[in-house]
Amino acid sequence: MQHKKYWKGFEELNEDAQFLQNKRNEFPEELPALSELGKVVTETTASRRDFLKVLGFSVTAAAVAASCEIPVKKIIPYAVKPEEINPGTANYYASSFLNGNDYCSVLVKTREGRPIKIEGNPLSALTQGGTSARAQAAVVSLYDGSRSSSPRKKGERTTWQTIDTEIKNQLAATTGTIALVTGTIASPTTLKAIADFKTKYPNTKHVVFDAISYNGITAANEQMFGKAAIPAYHFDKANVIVGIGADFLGTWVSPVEFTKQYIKNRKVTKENPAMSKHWQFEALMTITGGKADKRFTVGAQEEGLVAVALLNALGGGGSMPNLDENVKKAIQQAALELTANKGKSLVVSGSHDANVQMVVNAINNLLGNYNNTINLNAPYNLYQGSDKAMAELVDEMNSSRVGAVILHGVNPAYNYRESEKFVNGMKKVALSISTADRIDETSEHVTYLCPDNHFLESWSDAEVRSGYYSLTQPTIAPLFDTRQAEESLLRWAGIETNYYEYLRSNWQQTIFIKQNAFANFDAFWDKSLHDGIFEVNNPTKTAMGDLGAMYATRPISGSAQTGNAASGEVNAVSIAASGNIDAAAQAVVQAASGASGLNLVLFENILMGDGRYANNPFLHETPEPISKVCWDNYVAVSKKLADEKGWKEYDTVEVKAGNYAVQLPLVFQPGQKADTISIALGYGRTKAGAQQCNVGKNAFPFLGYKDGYFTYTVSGASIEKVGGAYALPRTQTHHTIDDTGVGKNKRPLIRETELETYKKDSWAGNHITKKLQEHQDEYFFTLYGPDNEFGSHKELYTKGLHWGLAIDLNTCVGCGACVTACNVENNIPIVGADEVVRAHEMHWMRIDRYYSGDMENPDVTFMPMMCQHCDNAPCENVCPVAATNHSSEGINQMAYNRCIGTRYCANNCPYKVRRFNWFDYQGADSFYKNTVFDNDEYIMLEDLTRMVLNPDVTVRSRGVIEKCSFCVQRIQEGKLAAKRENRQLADGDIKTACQQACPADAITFGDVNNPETEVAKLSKNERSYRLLEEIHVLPGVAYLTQIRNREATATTETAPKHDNHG
Amino acid sequence: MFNIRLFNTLLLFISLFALSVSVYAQDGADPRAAEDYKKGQTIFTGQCTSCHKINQKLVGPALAGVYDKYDRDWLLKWIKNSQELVKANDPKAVAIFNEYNKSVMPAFSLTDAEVDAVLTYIKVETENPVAAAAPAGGGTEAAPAGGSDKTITLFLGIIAAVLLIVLLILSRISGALNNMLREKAGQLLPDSIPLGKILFSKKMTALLSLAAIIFLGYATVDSATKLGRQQGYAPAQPIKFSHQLHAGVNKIDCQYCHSGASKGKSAVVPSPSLCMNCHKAINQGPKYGTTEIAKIYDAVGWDPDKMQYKPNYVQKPIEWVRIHNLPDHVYFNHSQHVNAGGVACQTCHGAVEEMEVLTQHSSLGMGWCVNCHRQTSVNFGNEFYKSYEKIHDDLKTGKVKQVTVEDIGGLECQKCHY
Repeated sequence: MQHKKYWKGFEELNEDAQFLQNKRNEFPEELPALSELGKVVTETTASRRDFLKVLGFSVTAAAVAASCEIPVKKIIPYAVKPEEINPGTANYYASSFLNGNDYCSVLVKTREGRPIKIEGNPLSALTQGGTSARAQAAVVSLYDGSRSSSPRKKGERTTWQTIDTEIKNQLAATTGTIALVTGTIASPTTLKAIADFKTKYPNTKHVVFDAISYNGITAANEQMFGKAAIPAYHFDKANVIVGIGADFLGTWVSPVEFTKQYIKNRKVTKENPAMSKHWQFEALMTITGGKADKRFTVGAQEEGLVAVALLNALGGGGSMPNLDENVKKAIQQAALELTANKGKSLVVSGSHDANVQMVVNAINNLLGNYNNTINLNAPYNLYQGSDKAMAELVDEMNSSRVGAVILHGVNPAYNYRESEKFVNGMKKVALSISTADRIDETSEHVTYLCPDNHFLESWSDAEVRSGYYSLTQPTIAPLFDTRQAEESLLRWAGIETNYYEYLRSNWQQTIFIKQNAFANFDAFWDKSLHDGIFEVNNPTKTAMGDLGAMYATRPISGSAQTGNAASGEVNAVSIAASGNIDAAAQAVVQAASGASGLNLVLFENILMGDGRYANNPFLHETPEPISKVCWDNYVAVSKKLADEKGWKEYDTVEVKAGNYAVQLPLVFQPGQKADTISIALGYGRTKAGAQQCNVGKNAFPFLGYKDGYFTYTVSGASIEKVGGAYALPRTQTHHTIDDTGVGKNKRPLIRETELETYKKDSWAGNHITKKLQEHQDEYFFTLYGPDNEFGSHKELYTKGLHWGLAIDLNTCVGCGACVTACNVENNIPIVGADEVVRAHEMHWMRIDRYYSGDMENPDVTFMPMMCQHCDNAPCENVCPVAATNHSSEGINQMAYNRCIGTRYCANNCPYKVRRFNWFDYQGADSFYKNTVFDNDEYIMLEDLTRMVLNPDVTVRSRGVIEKCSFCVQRIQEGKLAAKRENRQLADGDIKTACQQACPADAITFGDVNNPETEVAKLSKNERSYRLLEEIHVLPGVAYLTQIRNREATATTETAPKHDNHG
Repeated sequence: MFNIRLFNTLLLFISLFALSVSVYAQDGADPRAAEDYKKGQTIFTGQCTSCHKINQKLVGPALAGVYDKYDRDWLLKWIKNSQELVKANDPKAVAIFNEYNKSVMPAFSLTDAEVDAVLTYIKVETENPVAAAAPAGGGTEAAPAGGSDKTITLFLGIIAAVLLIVLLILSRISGALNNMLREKAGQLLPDSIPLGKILFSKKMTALLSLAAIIFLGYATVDSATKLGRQQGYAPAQPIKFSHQLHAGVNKIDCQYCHSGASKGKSAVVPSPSLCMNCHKAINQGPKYGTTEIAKIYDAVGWDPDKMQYKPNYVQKPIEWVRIHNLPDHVYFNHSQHVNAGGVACQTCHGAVEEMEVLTQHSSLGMGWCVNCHRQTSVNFGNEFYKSYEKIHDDLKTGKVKQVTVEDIGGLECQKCHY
């Protein structure tokens, strides 16, 4: 029986001896804590005398500690209790997470007035209740001790009054330009405030700077449609999707929204065995590529060529550019499928080159996708940054033509490509003001620091896509003496209204009139604030002609023609501006041929963005979905290149391009060509806040500048080994499940099939489960019988509720939102880079990323792993103190205060999901210095940061095991609410934190004893299987097979033969 | 000897008689014993006290001397229907109505005799002011009443000790007499073993050390389990709030103030703004007068003279001492017990309505929780338990008589620890 081989890292692929050893062991290393305790334990031999001394001391200490008086605790009720706040009961407020270009409509959970968790807002038509890791971690950034606690003048604390007077005077005296540099402003009311500011100071110039810009798309759209914007995309309406280097499930434009759309066509059922076909051509391995049905690795300079080739294959004329044969063939095939789905397909490109985007626009036009899957009438208000304007401003500043500069939401001294030039320029500006929340790389150079509120302390609004409004409301009073930036602008413009009133009146004047459901503004406002959103049902439809350009009015007559697109017989829609397109295509081809040597790709990763999240330890510790590296960036190269040069993984290398060089560790990345190397942006901050968070190297200085746009691919980079192994925090092979089966049979952890096979056989890819179900008594190899020592499972677990989880491997995109949500919900300690290196990360939930197949271009499968809550749990019967045991509701319980830390349970867990608190990571112990960290200022030990802790979940102390509890606090809360309301639990009443956060609806939780629930149906589905079910531990978590929409291959079908068990 | 005893008995009888006579005599002179007064008191406390006091302005005027100020007929009319008088533009009526912010005194359907009784009560109270100490004394009386148990124990102890001594003496005497008898009979006396030798014998040492080990071991375990537990804890509170008065005498429902108990985790200590619902009107307590209630006013900024909140007052929350503490690793939710479980507050908190000073009644130890979970049956009528089909079937067939909390998993770790 031939299984497809799944592997997480090269050590696994090559069956490295150390790796195999680790896989069988509980921890991937020798007891590491001993080295920490120092020589005292390891080297000194303790005599009987010492033993007695220690014994005597501890008894005395215990006696002294015990005889201490119990401290007097206070209850301090409000003098006047606000009606809606009941101590011990959470309140939820709808709000919007809008940070730069990241958007999620959210619900903020507050306890006793403290925001402690962010959940998705299911009312939003855009994000539909989904969240990202960034949104989940945003609540931690509120309690960030490195925020500036007051306004500052030249670094010294001062008062708002002083600052306002001085700034007003100086602004009035400014004769040169007043440059207002902001990130993209998607808030209509902020724009109004800026307009008011401009009215007062007409010499103001508003420059929008996005460190990671999408000027390629906006420029192409401006040129072709006269509209410099990013259109709305509808992945849910597309049957065929072609992604060309666009990581639309991870970082591209609006990933949460796109994930929600994308999975609509990826949920395969027996009744409806249909799914979209997703082609991905990309230079870097992304989660989007990982989810693709067909993925092809191309070189960084070839992504544009793919677009040109596709246009040509679709009948755009021109010759096929020079690409790999298999890629060419794939493009022909994709073109056929696209042609068959005109108006129901979508081609997107992540290129920053306007020419490539023009070619992609031409493709979509040819396919009639405009107004079907692409809508330029309701574009995004994101990514409005203009690279050119920013570059010009820096020049103007250097030539002393700027009188004042106000920086809001930007950090150019860190992430502008010529940061030094910017800083020098700023020194020539008489008046410099920043609204940054801390003294960062940029604001350390300004005269006045006017710290902005955190978004959880602010009033604001957003119109991320036109017609889709949302509101942000404060959920806590400002923690520090800070002031909302908009209010600062209004003050300086001489407007004294508070920003809430200003926002409200703007809504009354401009947004209220867009609806007719409410005649009364107060009612409309209350409803919008309650929902967090207001969506104009019919977004202002501009007439087609308004697009101005050549395509929109033209009927896509070509869609009727079906012919052999590849042979060029189809003379599809003649493109009026074909000259433009031809020129663009030519330019693309030329650019590709001009590239030589190594191509360095600078990309945004799902965690750090443009560096604005650098002080968030929760994001740092969430592993990057593909590389599984945390707390650092790295140079990703192909194994082929490394083999050629004789490099080992984690060698320190120096990457040089232009005048800039960085030294970073090497990571081998499958699915990347030998001529492509990549570095993530957003790392290497020097003034992010906590010292622990200033990690990695800054890659922004590598960015190029061409024709008025930043370029994110640099050709002619050189790379050279400069040092030995680097201790890179990387979790990919930590906690590897031992899949060694009997004899040569590996236990298949991942099960997958193809759509074609599944249509014929609903058990496809899952025959082992079928067989196990049909032959209940014949388990392959197990210690665990059908019952446990307390009775038969039927008796034990069918009395009432039985909790279960179903995870659809087909929809999980591996983005990591669930991991971050779990961390925040369950007070999971952040351990820091050094501890991650030692595999001490405490995450209850991890996403195992498996590669399989071709090493040059592997398939990727994401498998979320958490405690499986086995009904025959191997961990439970080895605990000497019964600290872990089973509940009648099927939960594998963990009583922390009972645990004595033998770690037998972790050793006996086949899934390796139990975590041991080697140190007191969160200050839970009464003895303060049980922490591993040298300085006590470690971020999660600060009182301020600890305000984010969930009061319903115990903060674990040193020396106990912990693991996923199925969010038991949410279960208990849901059950109690039902009891109070005298009703039965409804399906979906209780959602685990991971389920709530998931933008891909991959996780379903509920009562499996009730056959009506979604989870019960999924668990009984033919696609469903339990991990390692052949050892019969009866996990409570069901996985649904992954299905790829591609031609069937022989290797994945693993129908077992009967003679194989025993 | 007999005479003396007789004399004593006589004296006792005489004194008792004299005492009862004097009590009777006093009763005769006390105006508060009159039938009318008692009737008036009942009506006054029942219907008038929310707005009137004898010697103090409240919502309405102080009533001392009201019988002299106005004639009886007018008072009868006013009390029965004040608004009629106001509408009729009676000058006295209008004057009062305006003086007290036009707050309407409701019409009372009382007979003339009842109004007279009230007036008698007011007159008696006006002319015989009760010293403030009197009710306070009444309060302190309660304390020794609690102590009387102790006195009895003390007495019994003393009696036991005396009896023990008597027993020892008697045994000593009988021993001596025995010896004397033996001596008389010429028998040899056995060698007496000195006490010291017994005490320091090996057997005795072994016995004593065993006893010591058992005692110390027990004491250690016992005090270790009690570590952090505070049964009987009754700290002094910033306001001498009496549950006995509020919950006991005035019968205010527990959840009027502890409104969180049926809604959520915390039962909620009421904020002073809630106290003001009643204490806007009631500014004097029976025991501490105005001093304790003034602390509420201080917290919220209420001016009892002007009967209004002070403008721009910085409110001061009251720092109560927390009595019922659970360790951090325990999750307890009041609404689960009070609302879903229908457990009476007293089950855990004891007879709070009898506590002058609130005391922790239960140990709040895990054994105590678990015991209750074992014994208490679940209200299976709640729709929520429809999911427990099997148990419902068993109940129908009579296989089980009742479902305890334990039966539905109430003893499992993660019901309280997570």
